[in-house]
Amino acid sequence: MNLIERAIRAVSSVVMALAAVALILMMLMVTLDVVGKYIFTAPVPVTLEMVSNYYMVAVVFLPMAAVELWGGHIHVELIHARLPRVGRRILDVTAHALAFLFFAMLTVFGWEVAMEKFEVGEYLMGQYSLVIWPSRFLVPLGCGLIAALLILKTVRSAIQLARPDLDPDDQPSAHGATE
Amino acid sequence: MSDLDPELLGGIGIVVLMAMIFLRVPVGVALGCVSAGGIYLILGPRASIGMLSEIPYDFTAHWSLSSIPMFLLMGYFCFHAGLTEGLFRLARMWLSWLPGGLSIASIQGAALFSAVTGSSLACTAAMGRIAVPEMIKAGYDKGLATGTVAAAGTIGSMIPPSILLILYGIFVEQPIGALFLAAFLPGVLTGVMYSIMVCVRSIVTPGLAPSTKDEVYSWEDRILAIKDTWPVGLLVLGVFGGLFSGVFTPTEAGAVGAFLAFLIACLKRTMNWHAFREAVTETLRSTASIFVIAIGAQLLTRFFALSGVTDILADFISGAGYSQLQVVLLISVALLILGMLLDPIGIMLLTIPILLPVLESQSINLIWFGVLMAKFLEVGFITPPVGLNVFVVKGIVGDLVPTHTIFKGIAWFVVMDAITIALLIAFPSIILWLPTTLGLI
Repeated sequence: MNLIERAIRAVSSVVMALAAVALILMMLMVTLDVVGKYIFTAPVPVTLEMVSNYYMVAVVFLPMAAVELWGGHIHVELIHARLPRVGRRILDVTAHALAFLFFAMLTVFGWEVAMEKFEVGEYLMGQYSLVIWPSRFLVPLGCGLIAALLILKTVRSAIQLARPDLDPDDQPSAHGATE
Repeated sequence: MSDLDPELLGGIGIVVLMAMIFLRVPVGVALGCVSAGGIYLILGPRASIGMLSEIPYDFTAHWSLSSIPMFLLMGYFCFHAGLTEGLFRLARMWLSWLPGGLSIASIQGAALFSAVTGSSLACTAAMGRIAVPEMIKAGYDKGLATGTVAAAGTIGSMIPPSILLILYGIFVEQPIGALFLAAFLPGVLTGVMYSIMVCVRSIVTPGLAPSTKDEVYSWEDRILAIKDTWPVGLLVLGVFGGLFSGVFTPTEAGAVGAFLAFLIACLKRTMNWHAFREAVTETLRSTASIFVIAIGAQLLTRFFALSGVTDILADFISGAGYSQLQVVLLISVALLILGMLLDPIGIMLLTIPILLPVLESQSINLIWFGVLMAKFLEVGFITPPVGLNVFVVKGIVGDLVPTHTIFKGIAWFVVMDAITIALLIAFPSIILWLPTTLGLI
């Protein structure tokens, strides 16, 4: 199981690097566009379309698994932290299974949409037309990776529920809070 | 499809949602699962699948939402490259002669830092690391030292930029520039109220904050401190001048701001690979976790609209003949209670689909309400049992100060917040004057 986690970690860091590239490109392209627009009256073509359809989708969906690896998506500790070990593990199994279900649905449906758009060769019309179907695949890529991680976590907490001797009994942490 | 009334399903949905959140299902996942299940029961599998395939991409691929990662990046560049380190020193040189001077300097330093960050937690972390050790070294009461920083951090989401207000603006379809301007004076007011309280308490209670009057700084030093931080000032002026004059869209303001922050850090030779990596990673992490919730909230909006449960609530409230003030007070109580229990962004995105029909039926000004809501959620950042800012400060001070001491130090700040909120409700022009005068609304 640790091998699977190592594999997920490796893939996730590559995917995270892609997200970082998208973030920096977003910053540079918008800045260049502003400079072009106001100083040279020559805006950078398709800035709005690239930012919305490519960079945003990459920045939002690709880091999903990395967030989960780092400490989880935003959740409320209030009751969890006050329960005995078995209660905590039951909640863990439920929460991870539900999260898996959600991201698995997004992966499967996202994939179907992406294949549809790929077959029709989706693009945006305008002064310059822009092919956008490839960006559709970013959704199942990011969601699939976190779904894989979550099924691993579900199995792991189920084992810990059944076998107390394998339970490290982690301390509740303040992770996962962000704004 | 189910035989149950859609309205009843909507009601059940709210209960199940709250239960899931309290049982530690991630907020975004709970929102998504309840909405998908609810729509499945009302309209059947095709509608549910259709929604899950379209909304995540369509919602994300959105120009105005891209201002969120851009403003986050600007703040994290400034923070990790140390551009904001001089702010506390600057505030200290100008304010340390006051009673409780270091505490007041931390509050005003946080207010300055707020202009480059849209997040309370980042603001608290930045000020905490610098100011708390200084106050403790000067013999300040530990509760006051830690409470000051946790409370002052809440100014981070009021003074523009503010991630909370960007999300609010997008969900209720109000201009982000106007919301930013509207929150500026309430943010400043918060800082002033805190400072007055600290000043008075330091005079009344000897030993709370030993005087730092003997710290004499010459005028040359004070001017020099301003010179040290001027690039950040220039950055803020450029970014918000551009935004409020209508030259920049919010995304453009954020992107230019991030780029300038990067540039300034390079010129000052404080940018290195480590700082760059930290800033980018933190931006991506925050963005992804905010958007999971936002996508879930978008699904929830669809579910609530289909079930009609929010219209019932709106009809009920208008039918009961409550006045605008009573409605606002009712919502305030609900927000305060939720604020103690849940994450602010979660509360905001969870309650907007429920509240919007009510607000619209009462013709309550949405800009005014947005700022008020942000202020309420900020109070939730410092109240027990889950005051997130308090835990950030706790993480910084470690075993030096127990958590309950920090919460005790917060008490007076919460009292001042109550007065500030009462002022904002009694005098809506504190919020509306600036955007109206500058012609943004």
